[in-house]
Amino acid sequence: MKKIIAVVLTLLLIAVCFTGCKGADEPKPPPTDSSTPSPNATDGKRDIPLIGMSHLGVGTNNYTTIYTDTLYKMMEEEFKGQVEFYLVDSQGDAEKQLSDIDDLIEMKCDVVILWPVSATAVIPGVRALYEAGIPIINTNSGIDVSAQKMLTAFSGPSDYNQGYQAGEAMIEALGGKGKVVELSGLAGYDTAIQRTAGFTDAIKGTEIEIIASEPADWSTEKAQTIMETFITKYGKEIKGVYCADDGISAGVLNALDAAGMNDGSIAITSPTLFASGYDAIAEGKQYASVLQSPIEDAKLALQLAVKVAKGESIEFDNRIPTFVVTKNNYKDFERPSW
Amino acid sequence: MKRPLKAVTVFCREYTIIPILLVIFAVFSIYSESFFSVTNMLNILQQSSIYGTMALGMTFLIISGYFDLSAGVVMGLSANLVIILQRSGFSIGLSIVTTLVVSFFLGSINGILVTKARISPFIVTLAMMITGRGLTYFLCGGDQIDSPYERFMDYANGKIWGISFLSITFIVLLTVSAIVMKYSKHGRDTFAVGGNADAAFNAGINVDRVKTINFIICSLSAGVGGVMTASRMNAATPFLGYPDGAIMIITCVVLGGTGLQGGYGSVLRTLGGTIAYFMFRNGLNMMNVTTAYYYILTGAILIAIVTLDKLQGKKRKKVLQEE
Amino acid sequence: MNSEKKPRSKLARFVSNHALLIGFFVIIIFFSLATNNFWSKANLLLLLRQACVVGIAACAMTYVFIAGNMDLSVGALITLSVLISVDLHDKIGPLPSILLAIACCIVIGIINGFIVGYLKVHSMIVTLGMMMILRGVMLLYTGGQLTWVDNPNETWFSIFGRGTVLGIPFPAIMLFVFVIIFELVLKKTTFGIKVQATGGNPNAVKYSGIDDRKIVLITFIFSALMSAIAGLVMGSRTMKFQIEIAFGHEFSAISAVILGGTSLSGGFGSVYKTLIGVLIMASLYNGFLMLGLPYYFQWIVQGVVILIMVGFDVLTKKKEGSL
Repeated sequence: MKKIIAVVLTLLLIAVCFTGCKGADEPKPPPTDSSTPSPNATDGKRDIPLIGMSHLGVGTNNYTTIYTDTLYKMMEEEFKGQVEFYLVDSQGDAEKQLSDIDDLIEMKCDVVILWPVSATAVIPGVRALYEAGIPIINTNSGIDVSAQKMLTAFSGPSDYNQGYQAGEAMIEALGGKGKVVELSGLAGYDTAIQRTAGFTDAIKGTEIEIIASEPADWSTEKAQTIMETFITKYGKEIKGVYCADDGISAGVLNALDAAGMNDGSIAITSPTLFASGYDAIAEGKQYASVLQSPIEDAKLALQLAVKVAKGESIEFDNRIPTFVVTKNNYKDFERPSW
Repeated sequence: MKRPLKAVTVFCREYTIIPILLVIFAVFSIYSESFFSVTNMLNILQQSSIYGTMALGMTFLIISGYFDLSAGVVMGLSANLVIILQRSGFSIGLSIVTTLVVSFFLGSINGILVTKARISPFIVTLAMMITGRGLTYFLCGGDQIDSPYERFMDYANGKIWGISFLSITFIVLLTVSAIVMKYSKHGRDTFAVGGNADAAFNAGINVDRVKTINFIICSLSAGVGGVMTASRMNAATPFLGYPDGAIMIITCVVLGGTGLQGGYGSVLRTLGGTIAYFMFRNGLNMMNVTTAYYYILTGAILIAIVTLDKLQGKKRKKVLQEE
Repeated sequence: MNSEKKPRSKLARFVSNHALLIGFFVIIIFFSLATNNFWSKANLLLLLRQACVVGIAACAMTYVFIAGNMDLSVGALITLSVLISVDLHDKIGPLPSILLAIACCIVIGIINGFIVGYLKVHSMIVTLGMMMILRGVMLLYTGGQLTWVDNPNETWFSIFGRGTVLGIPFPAIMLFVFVIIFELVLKKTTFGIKVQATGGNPNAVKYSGIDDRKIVLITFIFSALMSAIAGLVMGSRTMKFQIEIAFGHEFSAISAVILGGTSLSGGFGSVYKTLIGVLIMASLYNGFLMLGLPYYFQWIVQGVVILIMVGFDVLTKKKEGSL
């Protein structure tokens, strides 16, 4: 009986491997071009360029998901047959990202789109790509300044600027003074650090004071817990809440709801607009958020990569526009699908 | 003609990880041409080196009957410590030595609490994991930190004749561990203690000392892993190794066939288990498998490997009984 | 190793038996004195409500531990339950989605329990693998997207996480009821005795015909069921789903169980003590937040607290010679 189970499990395992691998978005059958694949091919030129991407973490949140979906959609609709696209996911692990980059180099990519987990820890990987002669498009989160000369281009929003914009919105909402609490992103992540820095710099010199700050790890549930505790501790002292994204502001709104304080008198700003934030702004429960479209982010990165793969030259600095969305202007913008 | 075949079958049954490795290798080689190359194999070796080194220490501990849940956090703590020390003005060499001393110290705390205070090792290492995590964040202030010395990354990212220094370190440590395990008194005592602690005690072995030494070996290898990681990234992040760093290390050991109940196993098995895991990961990358399938396949193969190994173990016992 | 039984004062015995509870009160008193609003009705109720998700899951985790195993898939199971109950709430109605969530979790529990109980594979890797599989499956299903319940205030589903009965949060009432049931079953029924025997006394199991495989299976089913219910509480609280929502919760549950004195190698334990463990951890988290200290302080303290509690417990037991 046990033996049968063992055999079945092994077969199942192999079957899962085959179907799993085939079920992936870009199954790769052995190339049918003229050059026979040899184990040590050092000059095996593909017939179409290969764009590799080292991703920070698919499925981390809505933003990264839509970003990734946009990439695949663009590949299907626009670039099919022109380029090949491979994505490796570091799942938030800075060290794995370095291994992933090595894998991309092994695959002999022609261009690499890099979305770093850590601005500083990724530098050896950047260097490896540079020394392998592979152009790098740095997307969304910037890498450390010291290594930027090895990049071919940067594209994306600026977390720092968005934090700054959210800070300006807060100044506007509170008339330049008041106590706020901050619920930041995942402690230690560059995105979180930049958004905090932008906000803090924006409110410098005003009478707005951050009386408490806790990392909410981009999690609605954690944000809810933290906000509940803040409400208990500070009560009516809180005039504003700075949330590192709208996933967090959703939790904050829940907590305010439960405490009966959700009448819009507390100003909430966040640097990243989600659908839930859009609705909250429309209802007057949230003051402002910043529209940063993952669709535009992804489109720009892939377009730049394709250009480079085809040998065209591009600008170094490519920013996607970001907009502050408030009750006054939300109707000008489409409700985000994320 | 039957004898060699039977010998091979028995060998494969004993070391289940080998046929599994071969199957993984074969499947990916067929489906991905980038996978099947010497440079990629060296690539896999390099990627296995850090966890492989840590798994060596864990192997000693597991054979003596315990496991260490704090190993991942000790790795993270060491990585952050070595960078912080460098930022405070320590030289590269001194920062590494100090960090290793600290990990040695942490291992001895584990060992003493388990042997002298008689607290369950699960509890001790779990508490060490939680405390260590707090200390790691405390050290770096919750931020990612990078090393002021550019040369520091040359170690982990450098190669000689195409083989990375990390791989060389791993292989050297592997050889040393294998020798210690097979030919030293401590090695033999470790097996004895893991097999039957009371009998070992009665035979005059200082069981407490053996256990403590193994805890130290485990934490020390985690410290080495931390230094390697810090050098690889030339930076450290606060969330290294938590929450499942230790679990992954244990997984590498167990995949090779070393049992968690202790008493048997070998570092070669651990090598097999570690390579299997990282080869699988690399292969999935080469085949552009999406993240969701990556999780599903990895989870499935982990369960499949340990189940197969368990079932083969039963068959082994049966065969031995019949002979 | 029989030491002479010294006559112990009643006070000493009382303290050693109730060390955990006393420690809990010490922590509460400390925070109440050190901050302004820790000791307030609003905050204490809040603390209670926040402890419920982990607490409910920890009830069953205690059983799994007593039987000698661990369940690392708990976090993923809670997430699964949140996903099904929140995502399908608007599509098929609250009651069917709740039942479906429970059913799916139980299926996973059965698979876990079968592989660990009947195939005798070590629970650590199996439940780790299952956790990864679940993660991948959920990623596939949601595509990484958020999902939520519209009109959260108008559904009776909100009672799980948000309701109150006579001023006490509804999930807290559920928690207390579960603790009482699980504790009574553990201590007063034959099933409970069998669970303890499975973990602690393999000889008894062999010679008294206890089917330890079935016992293990049932403990995993309980763990999955409680995780499902914990997920209902969490989903009801947030009315939203995010893929990362409950990963890591298994370690919180495990820490609570360990803090409560249950360990993997004991074959004994207490759900009531696990509850105190849960409350201690929740108080530490809440208390440090109130104190305004950096978030990583609580981890350092948590680890040390665990060691102190357990060490104290063990040392006093040792004096009495009851080890």
